[in-house]
Amino acid sequence: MEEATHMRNLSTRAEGPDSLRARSVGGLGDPSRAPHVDRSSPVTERQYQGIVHERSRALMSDWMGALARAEAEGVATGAIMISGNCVELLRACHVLPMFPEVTALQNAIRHKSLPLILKAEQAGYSSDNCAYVKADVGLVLEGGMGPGKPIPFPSLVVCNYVGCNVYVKWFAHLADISGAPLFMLDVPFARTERIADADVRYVVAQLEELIALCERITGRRFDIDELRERLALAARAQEGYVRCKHLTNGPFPR
Amino acid sequence: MTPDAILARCRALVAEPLGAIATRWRDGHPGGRAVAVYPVWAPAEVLHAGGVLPLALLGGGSSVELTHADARFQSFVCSVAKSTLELGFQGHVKGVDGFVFSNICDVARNLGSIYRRNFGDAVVEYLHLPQNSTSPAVVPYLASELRRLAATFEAAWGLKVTEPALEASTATYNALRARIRALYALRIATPHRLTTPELYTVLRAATLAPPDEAVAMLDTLLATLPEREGRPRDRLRVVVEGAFCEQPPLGLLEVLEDAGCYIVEDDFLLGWRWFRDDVPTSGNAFLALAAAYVNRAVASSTRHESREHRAVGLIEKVRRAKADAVVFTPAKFCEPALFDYVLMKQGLERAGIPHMIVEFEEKMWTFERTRNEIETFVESMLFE
Repeated sequence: MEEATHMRNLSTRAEGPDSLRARSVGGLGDPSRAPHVDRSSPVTERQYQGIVHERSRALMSDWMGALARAEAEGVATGAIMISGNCVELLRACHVLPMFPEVTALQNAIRHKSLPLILKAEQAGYSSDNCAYVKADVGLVLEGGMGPGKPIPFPSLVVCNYVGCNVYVKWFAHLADISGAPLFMLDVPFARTERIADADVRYVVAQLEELIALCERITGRRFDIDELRERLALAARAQEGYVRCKHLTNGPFPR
Repeated sequence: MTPDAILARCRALVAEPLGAIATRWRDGHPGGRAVAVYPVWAPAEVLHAGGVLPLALLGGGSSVELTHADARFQSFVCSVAKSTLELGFQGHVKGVDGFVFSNICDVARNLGSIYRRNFGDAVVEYLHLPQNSTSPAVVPYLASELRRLAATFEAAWGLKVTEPALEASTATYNALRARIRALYALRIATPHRLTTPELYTVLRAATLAPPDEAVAMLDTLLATLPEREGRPRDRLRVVVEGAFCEQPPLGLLEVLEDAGCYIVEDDFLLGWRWFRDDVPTSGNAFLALAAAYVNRAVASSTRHESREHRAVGLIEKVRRAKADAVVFTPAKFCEPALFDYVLMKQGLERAGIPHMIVEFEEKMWTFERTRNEIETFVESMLFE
């Protein structure tokens, strides 16, 4: 969700000849692949500038394509939350992650949420309930998610309860609608100066149970080395993201 | 003592500021401490085992005007959180030594932090109650969390929560809960003996008194209520669901009854009725309490239960209470109640149980619209 927001902000930022973005076009990867930028008209939402954006877009498209094929190809899918998730574990267990929050965000960006929200409210959700949840439920009620749809029902719903309590309700509802098993990964909130050993034992035990569940669903054995590899890649991606954020600290040319 | 005399005492107790109750108790128990616990469930047994008086912290209702709390909360936050904070700012909880909050919802979770920042003299603790109901690791985790709570107050006040003491306190609260179950059973059988506002006042008073005194009071009430005069009326028997944290004003309960309902079951003060049956008192007391939280708890919107659909507990309650319908009463902005309403509504519809929904706020004081809605619902049920 954070990356999508970041992408949107970059695409709408004012452009200048000496801007960091103008200088960086072509500086990221192969300069010959830098897309032509029409500077005579305002930047529109779909004008991705720079190889990074094109690659991000390709990643999203690949992922959405894999989701759309998952049912037909017998690939297990797992709905999971964004904050504090264990997506590396799902990937290592050969479960393709789905992010209802991202779906809700994408629909919001495209101004498609309101009818979905209203649909959910007709089904009984309060106007005071979180709109992300309603948009997601509304998508199901409108036939936008489910068997044979581009966004399938998940094979597994993993509620990583580290964010808000609405996570718990949202995924309980998603599991109820889809019929998928719900795994509640309960991560105690930080409430002491030092993380308690009991908290760590609790979370580790749940992760081991999640692995066993994924093995039952996919029929494939968990490989700890694959998890290590994915965690290393995730750490590298995170480090790269942090370095990108630090680029905004300046100094900037005048 | 007659039921009316008991009720008069209960009303007087409920009208007192929490701080005054705490101060009076401490004056009578040198060295004693009082800790207020926010809804829904808090381990009163653990506090009691340390010689602490647990008191229910249930907001200010309509008794406090919000003059400080609004500046610290968004507008779209439930009233009970704001009024609870306001109680602190206006000194109504001065005299209470500690507070316990938990993760029943995002608002409550953050209310604990706000209390800690603003009222540093008190010991403020936050419990992470588990939302995983199936892992073998849950019970040991919760037992350690309960021990951590005990250790906080031990360190703060030099008291001790021993296993034998916790076992004894568990037995005491088992006795209290048994009396409350008996009171509800009596009302299910003969709801005309005690009105819902009266029942609520008795329960509320029980959360503000030492548990042994509450048990004695309830014993007297249970012995004398069967002789109380009252004529059964032709009313719709309903279960009220959704007022488990923010408490409904008595006026709303009166309107529900005046409009033609007998409220035969509800989830008011649910945390003080949390266990379906007695918590075992043999073996490791912390583990026993933790295991009871996971395996003997009533259905609630603040505790995720993976082993059954959210509507199952409500339907069981309807059948047990021989109720005709359900009136959902979620508090305004209460996300747990408003979300669970959808699943429970679907379950009721599959089971063929009629229902309606009425939102409330603790500080509401006009009920005409609510009265009309309920009367219409009752009439549609009674005369169809």
